[in-house]
Amino acid sequence: MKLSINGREYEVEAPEDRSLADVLRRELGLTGTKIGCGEGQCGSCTVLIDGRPVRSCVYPARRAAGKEILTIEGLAASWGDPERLHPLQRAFIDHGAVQCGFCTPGVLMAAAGFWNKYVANQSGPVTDEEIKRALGRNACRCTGYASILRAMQSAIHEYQTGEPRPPIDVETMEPLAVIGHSHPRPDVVAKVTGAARFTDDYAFAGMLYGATLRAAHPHARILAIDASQARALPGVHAILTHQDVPGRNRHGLVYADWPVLCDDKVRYRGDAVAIVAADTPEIAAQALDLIQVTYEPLETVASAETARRPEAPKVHAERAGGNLLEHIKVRHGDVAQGFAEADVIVEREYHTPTYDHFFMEPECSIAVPAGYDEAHPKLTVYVGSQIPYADRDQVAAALGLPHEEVRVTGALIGGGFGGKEDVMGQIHAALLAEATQRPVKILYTRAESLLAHPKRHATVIRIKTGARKDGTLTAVEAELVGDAGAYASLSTKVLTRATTHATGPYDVPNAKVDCYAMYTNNPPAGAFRGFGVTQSAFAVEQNMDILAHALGMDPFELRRKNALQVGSTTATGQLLRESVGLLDCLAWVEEQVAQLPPPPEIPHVRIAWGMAAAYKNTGLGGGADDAAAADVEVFPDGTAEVRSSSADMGQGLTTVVAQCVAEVLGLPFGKVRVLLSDTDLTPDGGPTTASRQTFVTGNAARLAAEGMRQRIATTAAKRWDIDPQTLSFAGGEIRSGDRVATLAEAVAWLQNEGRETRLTYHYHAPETRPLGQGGDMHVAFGFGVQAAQVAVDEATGKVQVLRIVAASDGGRAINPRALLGQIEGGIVMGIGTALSEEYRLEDGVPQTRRWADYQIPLIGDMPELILHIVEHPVAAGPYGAKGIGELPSIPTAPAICNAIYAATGKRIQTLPVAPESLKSPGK
Amino acid sequence: MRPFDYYRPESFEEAFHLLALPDKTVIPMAGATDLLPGVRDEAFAPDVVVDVKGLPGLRDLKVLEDGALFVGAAVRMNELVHSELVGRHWAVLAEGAGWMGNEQVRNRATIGGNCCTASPAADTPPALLVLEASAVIKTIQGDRRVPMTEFFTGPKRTVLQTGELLAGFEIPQPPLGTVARYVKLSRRKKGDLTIVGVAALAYPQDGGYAWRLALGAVAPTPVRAPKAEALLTKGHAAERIEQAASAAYSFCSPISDIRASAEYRTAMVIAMTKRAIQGVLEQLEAA
Repeated sequence: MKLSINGREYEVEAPEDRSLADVLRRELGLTGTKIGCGEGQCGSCTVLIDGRPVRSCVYPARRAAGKEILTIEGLAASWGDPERLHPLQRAFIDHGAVQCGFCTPGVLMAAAGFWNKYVANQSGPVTDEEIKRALGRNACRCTGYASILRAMQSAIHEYQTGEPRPPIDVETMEPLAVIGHSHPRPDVVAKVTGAARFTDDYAFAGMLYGATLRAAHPHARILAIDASQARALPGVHAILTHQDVPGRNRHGLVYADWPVLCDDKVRYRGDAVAIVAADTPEIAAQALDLIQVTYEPLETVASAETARRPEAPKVHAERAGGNLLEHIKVRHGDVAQGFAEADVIVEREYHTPTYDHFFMEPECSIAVPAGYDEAHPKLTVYVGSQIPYADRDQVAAALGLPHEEVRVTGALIGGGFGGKEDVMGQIHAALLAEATQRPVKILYTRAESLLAHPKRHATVIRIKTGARKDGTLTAVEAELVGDAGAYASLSTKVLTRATTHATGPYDVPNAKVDCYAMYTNNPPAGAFRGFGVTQSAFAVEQNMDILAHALGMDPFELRRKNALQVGSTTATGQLLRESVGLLDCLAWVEEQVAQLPPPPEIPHVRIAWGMAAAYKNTGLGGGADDAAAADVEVFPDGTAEVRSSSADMGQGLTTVVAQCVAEVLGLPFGKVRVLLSDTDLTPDGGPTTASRQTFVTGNAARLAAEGMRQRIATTAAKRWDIDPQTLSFAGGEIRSGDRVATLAEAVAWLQNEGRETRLTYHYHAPETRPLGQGGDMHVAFGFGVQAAQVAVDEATGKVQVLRIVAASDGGRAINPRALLGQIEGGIVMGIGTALSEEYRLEDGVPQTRRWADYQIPLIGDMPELILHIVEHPVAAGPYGAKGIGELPSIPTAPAICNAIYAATGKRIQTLPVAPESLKSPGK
Repeated sequence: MRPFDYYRPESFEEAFHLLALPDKTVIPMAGATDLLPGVRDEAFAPDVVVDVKGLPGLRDLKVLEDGALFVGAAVRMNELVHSELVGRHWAVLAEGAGWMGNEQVRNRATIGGNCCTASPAADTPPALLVLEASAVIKTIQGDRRVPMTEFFTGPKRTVLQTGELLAGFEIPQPPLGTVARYVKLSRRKKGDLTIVGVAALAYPQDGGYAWRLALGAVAPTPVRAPKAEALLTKGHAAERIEQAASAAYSFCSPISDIRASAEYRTAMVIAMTKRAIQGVLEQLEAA
């Protein structure tokens, strides 16, 4: 068939039934068009056909024949000048509307369709509502849509008046030369033009396609696997089962209990039983259907509560502790005494469901066997991973190779949120590549992604809070039961965080918290933005609200009375010596809420405010060596490069490390390149988790740059015969008195003297103590307060969030716009946590099977956001930064629930909010 | 996905022949937006799929001699949404169709499929019910017409017998001054399955208004609510909204599912019926 794409004619040989997205990507290499769901739902694949937006993943390619197709790669040129960006692309850059960038091409093309049809013929203002309708079904998981809306308005304003709208500003500390400025992400132009490459955008000559046979039952013994029929299928190159795993047939980030390929048993529906490599994905899928597995189904352990019963079947028969993965304890003071002193005691039970991260990019791994071509002397795995070095070590262990024989090369990551920490297809792709001696790509469909990867822990939280009449908290006692799923993943760490944060950001003199992490036959639960604190905050902050009502106290006042501040001691025995911005957050949010005009009254709609506070640790803590390394290299062209295996999954680490290095070396931001996540080229930055990367890798980059600066300074001082202390680094130059040299010249001096122009710094965060030993469990905490204004429809019980007022203390803002992006995205994710998201399971069988079964917030769900940054710097952080990745998503759900209570008198004890529990009878 | 044979007959003779193939599971298909995901999920296992879109008259959208609208079974949802013809007297059908799925699903999905699938939650049947449409069914013996009130016989079941094909719908022209609305409650604003859907229609009669109401997703089939209609028609509608909504409620036997519990659905019948009636009343008053 002939296709006309971006003004060029293509002749394509492809089967009749292929989708346009598939043909664009696989046949023509136009990989700017992304596939996020394959169901025509998420919008990442949007292209224009004869000017109209179309979801190319469900649009047959042959129907596009004879029509004009415009993809993201052609958007700039469609505006006239291929060298200049479309106004929409520029606005998306200027307004920070791009984070991971996976949804960006689709959003931009939907926006372009709206632009062509409407904006180009419109002289008056375009309302937010019109934009929201146009982009109503394009999903974005990072930005929270606020920056997308601002970018759209700015582009339209510029088109109509010649003047773009200024990007929003928030008040911050006085910026330094580079730190504190909102530089756009270095990869942003690639992300708005379709040039950015995620794993599935890579292809290698001779590449095969892998697929995974998943368990047919949530819990069953494997009696036999017969792959003979599948092996006979033409086009199949390898079928592997547990017998073909040469090394350790287990993986896991904390405990290696997760089979690479199941041997004796399957323990959840997403368990991998066999893997296939074939010429095409279609043949691979066919081969899976031909593999016969004989099972003896076992009784399913369907929840953490049932797992605790003595008669419950054991998920891991060999474990002495039965289904108990870990019992985590916090003991502080004397709770009996504390409750005896209390005038009011509140006790409630709360339930949170399993949640999926719903990152836009489904998992993909490509492995190229050792020696396949010149570029691949060793076994290489391409993957968008949050922990590249852990991937390398786990691939090596499973293949029985020393880790230096494996290389993991990071591609861009289309969102992670904790969901790309565990190994998914990495080991499978490597096994198949070695077995076939061909490159093998394993790309998950959305359905497979939902089935396989770890989730957020479902929890049951019983919590009792006591206070005196004046509001002073006297004690907290809590029991948490967490569904860890089939394998340990990061459960012990996540649920430790849930446990240690179960007193909330308050000074509680007496606390006793017990948490039981239970194995079940549900999907493994692991890291997810908030890392357990999302769940405990939902319980803690509603108990605080109930207390406030019981005491007749303002909820802000109750929090202020008990708020952690410098000098307070946490329930784990940590004395807070600095950087506790909670009181400032409380004050700002309270003032804003008081100032806001009331919304218009709508009949049969109840509107009310609610608030919540939260805190979240930065860094691993708990006695772990929280280390990160970074390389800095300077070049004779006056540029620098910083390298670390730390993930930028959209949150903006690339920008942060570049800013740190530019600041130290006195370089303009654009002169610093960043290379992330290649285990052969970049040193280990550790896991991208726990809101830690700005702190640890930011520090490693800063200190590597400091070392390099010192090296340059001593060389220059010798040459100029001056005191190195008198040297300044600014604007790409070094200067002392009237002596000036460019950094380029200084690098040449280093080279002439035979000095290294590259320096690695291994940073170790200040030492912490394990839980139970008192002292500093964490290096820093972020703090936040949010107020939510909700509208509850009396008749239907449907809840709409009208406004969120949020103040967040993540320490110093290194890049204020990127930081706002984290806050906006976190809040909107929190709205999903509160109101619409739930990964449903019935007796271990997922009922959430595809995109359309899970409801992440869309642009129409976005409320008005009123935001403030509180900057309480922490001495050990880079320029005083702590971390912000998780914090803003934590207080949102409890703030919404407290607002719902204020509106309806009904207390939400189970998430997500069920409208049916909120309708007023007779309305 | 399980393979099947695909045919696209261009005459009813050919189609009837295919439908009668011995020892084969034969399923007619129009937009396939329900069938194909169903095959993928193994809810359907056809050996043969008969695409009806090429059959004569199935894509027709035209006014008949008596002023009624004929809508071919393979007319797509978005054709209804954007049709000027439909907008003239039958806009409530376009309103119902516009609620279904997302843009691209509406580009493929057909009104015949929406009805033959016979989901109690479908978005076009309530509109067809209040418009008093009839289904035109082709059989080897000839055509038969079935009022839409009798078309649905249970969840996923219709009066269609094996070997019969739905050709389309005849929708009489409503009386002068008719106003009709379809309101729907779903978890999301758009693109989600119905928790409760209500179509209301009224036209001037004897100095007052005559009313018709139909509900979706609250009973094994989409249903008319004659008691509620009578209450509204016989009195001053504005004063009888509560009563009528309660009467509509008495017709319902909703189920609990992933989207809502039976209790909530039942309560929402009242809320949404009131909204539908109020919506029509407002338009009547504005006219």
